[in-house]
Amino acid sequence: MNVLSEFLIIALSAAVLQNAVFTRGLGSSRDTLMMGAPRRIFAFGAALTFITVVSAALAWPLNRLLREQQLSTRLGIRYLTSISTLACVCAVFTLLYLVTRAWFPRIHYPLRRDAANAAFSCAVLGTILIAFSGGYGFVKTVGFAFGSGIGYTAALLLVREGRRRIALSDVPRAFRGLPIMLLYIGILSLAIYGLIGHQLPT
Amino acid sequence: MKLNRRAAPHIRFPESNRTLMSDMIILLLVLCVLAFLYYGGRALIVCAVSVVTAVVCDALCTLIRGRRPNPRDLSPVVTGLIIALTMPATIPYYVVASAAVFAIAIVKHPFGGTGQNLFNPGAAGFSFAAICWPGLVFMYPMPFDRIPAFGEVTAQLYQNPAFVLKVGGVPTNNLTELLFGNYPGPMGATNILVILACLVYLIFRRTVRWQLPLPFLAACAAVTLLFPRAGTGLQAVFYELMSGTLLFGAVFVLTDPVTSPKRDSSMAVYGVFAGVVAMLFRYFGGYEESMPFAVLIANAFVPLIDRYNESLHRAIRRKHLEARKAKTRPQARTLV
Amino acid sequence: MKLEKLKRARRRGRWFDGIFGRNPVLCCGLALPFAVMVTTSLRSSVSISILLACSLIPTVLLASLVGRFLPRWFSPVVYTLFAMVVVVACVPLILPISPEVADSLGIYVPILSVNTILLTLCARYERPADRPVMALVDAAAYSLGFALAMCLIAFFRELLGAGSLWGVPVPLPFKAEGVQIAFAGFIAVALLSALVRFLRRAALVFSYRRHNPKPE
Repeated sequence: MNVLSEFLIIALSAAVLQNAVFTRGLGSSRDTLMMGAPRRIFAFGAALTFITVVSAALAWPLNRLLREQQLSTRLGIRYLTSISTLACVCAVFTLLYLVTRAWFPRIHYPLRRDAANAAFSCAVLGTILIAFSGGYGFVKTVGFAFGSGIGYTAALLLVREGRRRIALSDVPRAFRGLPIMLLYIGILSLAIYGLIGHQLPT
Repeated sequence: MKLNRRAAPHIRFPESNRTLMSDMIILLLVLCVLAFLYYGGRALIVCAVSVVTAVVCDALCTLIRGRRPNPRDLSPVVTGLIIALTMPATIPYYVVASAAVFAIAIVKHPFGGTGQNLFNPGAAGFSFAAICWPGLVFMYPMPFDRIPAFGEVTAQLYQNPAFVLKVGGVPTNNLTELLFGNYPGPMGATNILVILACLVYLIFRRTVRWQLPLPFLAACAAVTLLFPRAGTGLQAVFYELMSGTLLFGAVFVLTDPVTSPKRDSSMAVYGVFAGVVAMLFRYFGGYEESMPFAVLIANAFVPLIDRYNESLHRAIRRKHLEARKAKTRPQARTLV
Repeated sequence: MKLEKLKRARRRGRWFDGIFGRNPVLCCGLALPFAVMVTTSLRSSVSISILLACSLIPTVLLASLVGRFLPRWFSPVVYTLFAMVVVVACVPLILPISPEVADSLGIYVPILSVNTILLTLCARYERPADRPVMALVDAAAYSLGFALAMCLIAFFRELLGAGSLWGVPVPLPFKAEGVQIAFAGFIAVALLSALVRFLRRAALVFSYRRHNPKPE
């Protein structure tokens, strides 16, 4: 019970308070912000959430091991955690791609186009590294990864809704397309920072 | 026949955009006069700075976009007044001016100008000022203090009752003080009685539909009743609704005809949603003031609410039509 | 219409594509997290630009040389891992700027290895049709364009938000600390990108009018 509530609270905080798009801009680029059909957004978000959660679950024990052995200081490499995390993400992506291609072609077909974009989006690596820098336990890390993926998908859906509304109005020519969407995200981010206060929780 | 596509607000009454806005302006000016009585000349100068900046900025943006400025469009005046009245009287002028510039040049005109802005400019301007200068925006002077119009402000500054609620205390102000606005707070948002009178006037003038502010306040009250922060029951509700700019926002900011939904039922949904978000921000947020942020968040969901509400209505209409057809068909048969 | 002239200008401008015409941040909307979060000070944005240049150029070169032998879906794995190693190896380069800059950048240094500029450019140059020379030129131009955009945004945000430039205080009548928060980054990128679009269009219209004068 305690574990579940911890999981849910950290997931909610990651989805709303530390929303990947609105508070840190992670994983926002022209391709993702301008994604059209909601079905595709859902597929993309599902792939991203899955990859984030599984790689967080994989990378956490590895990170723990590295920290206990103090390999980072012993080898003199500063970002050893990041390298191992990226390796985990790569491994999960490769496995996902191969397994779905071999046994689940129905999942593989919609995934094929977006899986690489989802796995190598800043949102995946960034979320896991933020969770590590916060010093979370295993449940909290996985919950953070899960909530962040959900929040990312919700943010993309909201941005798409905003784009549909903005398409109806008479936007100045220079602002059409990407700039107005960035302004939209910026104003929503302003509102969410009203909830957070002045500083991002770390 | 030539049909012109016009942007919101759509009005089916002899009123026009101008009358709607001038109704608002008259009431906001009443609040300005009260602020003058309470805080002296500086309050008027703050209002003037805000309004002049907003109007000039609006005209400049319209010119840059290659249109002719419309002198009959009074909406920048309303934006400026809303920004000024939610600030303390001791606010430095540059804060008000930059909030007005942010509201007009970044929130209003890039989205298409009057009638097409997605977010409420007044709420966005106030949020910007609150995030950039929280130390200046959330400290208020006592009413009837002498505040110099220019130069260094030496008056003693206090917190709003909303801050007391935020840190978990019970405000010491009594009810009459709260009703007449005789406590430190935003310039125009403390006179609860006057604001309520404004709400009644606006509803009877049909400038504002009652479906919007009342569900908002009801949602806030319900959240407070269920999870009271200070005192118990009604007392907590009174303190929550009367502190900060909650009531002011419900009457003047939330009811903006451009950024609110179009149907009455979707207005109610919007009001309840905004109320719940506002109370959530109050309970868990970083600042004691929540209304402008909640309005911005709710504005982002307006297209969603409008669309799903419309499809709901369509489904209901279809049901009715089918029911009527089913009723009339047997009769037709008997006639034959 | 003088298509010959246009074609020549295009060919000449191809080398500087990434800097102005297709600036990765302001025109293409790539690498936005850096443009939004890192640009709070000139120092950090310069150091992140240096790191990006150091990782982008070798990785794109690798893509143009090796990319055709890898399966399409697998190649990002190789590029990102390679870029991560290069970034980590290049971190000592930015330490002279300021000793604590690497700590203040935090997660944004490792994230450089999965940025969208890198993935886009690598995907573009892994086809055998493109020569490695062009890949190098484009990588350098995109790095430069990224650095320019970052410095432009960071200039405004540091000046308005912290009242300083490169850590040196600048006397200003007021400062808005909120400009250092993420939302201002989004708004700054949006405004600058709108400005760039406006200028591009104005230049286009100007040159069109000059070459096609209105008949009397």
